[in-house]
Amino acid sequence: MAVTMVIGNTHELAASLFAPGYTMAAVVANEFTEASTDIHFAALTYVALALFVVTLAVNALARFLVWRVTRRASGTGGGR
Amino acid sequence: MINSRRVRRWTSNLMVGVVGFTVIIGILPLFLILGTLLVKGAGSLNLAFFLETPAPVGETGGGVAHAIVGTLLIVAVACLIGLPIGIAAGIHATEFPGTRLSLTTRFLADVMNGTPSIVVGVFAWTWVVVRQGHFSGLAGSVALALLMIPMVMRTTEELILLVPNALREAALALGYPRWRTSLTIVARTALPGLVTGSLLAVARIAGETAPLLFTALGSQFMRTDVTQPMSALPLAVFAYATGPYEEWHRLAWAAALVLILVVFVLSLLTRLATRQRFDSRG
Repeated sequence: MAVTMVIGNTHELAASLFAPGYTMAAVVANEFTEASTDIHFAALTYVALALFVVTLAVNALARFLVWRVTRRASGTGGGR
Repeated sequence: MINSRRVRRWTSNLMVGVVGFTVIIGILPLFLILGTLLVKGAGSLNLAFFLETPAPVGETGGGVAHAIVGTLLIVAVACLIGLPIGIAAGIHATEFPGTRLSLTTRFLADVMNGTPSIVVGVFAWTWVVVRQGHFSGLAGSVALALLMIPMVMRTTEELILLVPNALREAALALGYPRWRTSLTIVARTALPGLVTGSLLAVARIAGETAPLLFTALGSQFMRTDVTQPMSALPLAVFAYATGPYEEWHRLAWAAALVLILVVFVLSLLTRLATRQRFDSRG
C-alpha cells in the first residue's frame, strides 16, 4: 500500500528506477474495485496468484538455505 | 601488552560508537513519522473529528467517527475468528512437536506469513464477498483474521517453549490428562505473553489497508452492522491521501494520527488490564 501511493502507477514499462512504474500489488489494489468484467477480475486474480507464487518461491528458497546450513552444522541433520 | 590493551579498548569504543549510531538510524524513522504526523495532523484534530462523520465535499469540518467505529468492529471480529485458531495451532505445534500435523501446520504458517496482504484480500473477496453478493465489514474481518493466524501462532509457539518442562511433568505426575496440562498449566503460565503477542498482532492488522480495499470497501456513513460495507481508518487515510482536494489531504494526516493513537491506546489499555490481573494473583 505504501508503495502504491508513491510509485506513480503507470502502465508503461520504464527502464529507469527513477521513472514512475507499477508493482503487482499496486495493480491489484488500484483496479480490483473498479473492475467490471469477468475477464478483468480473472486477470487481476491471476496477478495475485503470480505474486503468491513468487513469495512462495522465495520462502521455499529461504527454507532450503536454512535447512542446508543446519544440516551442515549438526553433521547428520535435524535441529529445530 | 599495554599496547594491545590500548588497541582493544580503542576497538571496543569504536564498535560501541558504531552500534550506537546504527541504533539511532534504526529509531530515527519512528520519530520522523511521529513528528511529521504531529506537525501535519495535530492542527486538524478537535472533538468533532472524533464524533462526526465526513462533511460533504467542499465544506470544512467533519470527522472520522465512522472509520474509528469501523476499525474497532472489524478488528474485534477478526480477533474473534483469528485468535482462538492461532493460539490453538501454536499450542498444538509446540506441545506435540514432531508429529506430521504440527510440522505441516508450521510450514503452512510460514507460507501464510510471507503471503502479501493484498493476495489475502483477493482471497477474502473470492470466498466471502462474491458468495455474499456484496462488500462487507465481515469479509474484511476474515481477511485480517487470516493475516493474524500465522503471526499469533508463531508468537504462541515461542512463548509456550519458554514454559519449563518441570511444570508439565508435575501436572502429569498429579494425574492431569495431557490436554488439561496443555490448557490449564502450560497455556496459563504463558498467558501474559500470549496477551502481548495477540496485541502485537492486533496492532499489525489494525493498520492494514490492502486486504480491506475490496472487502470492507469503505463508507461515508456510520455503520455498526458488520454484514454491510463499512469504513476503517486505513481506508479513510488511503482515500483522503490519494484524493484530489486539499481539505482531504488535511483529513488524511489527521486520520493517520488518529490511527496511531487508537493502536497506542488499545495496547496501553490491555497492558494495564492484564498487569493488574496478574499482580493480584501473585
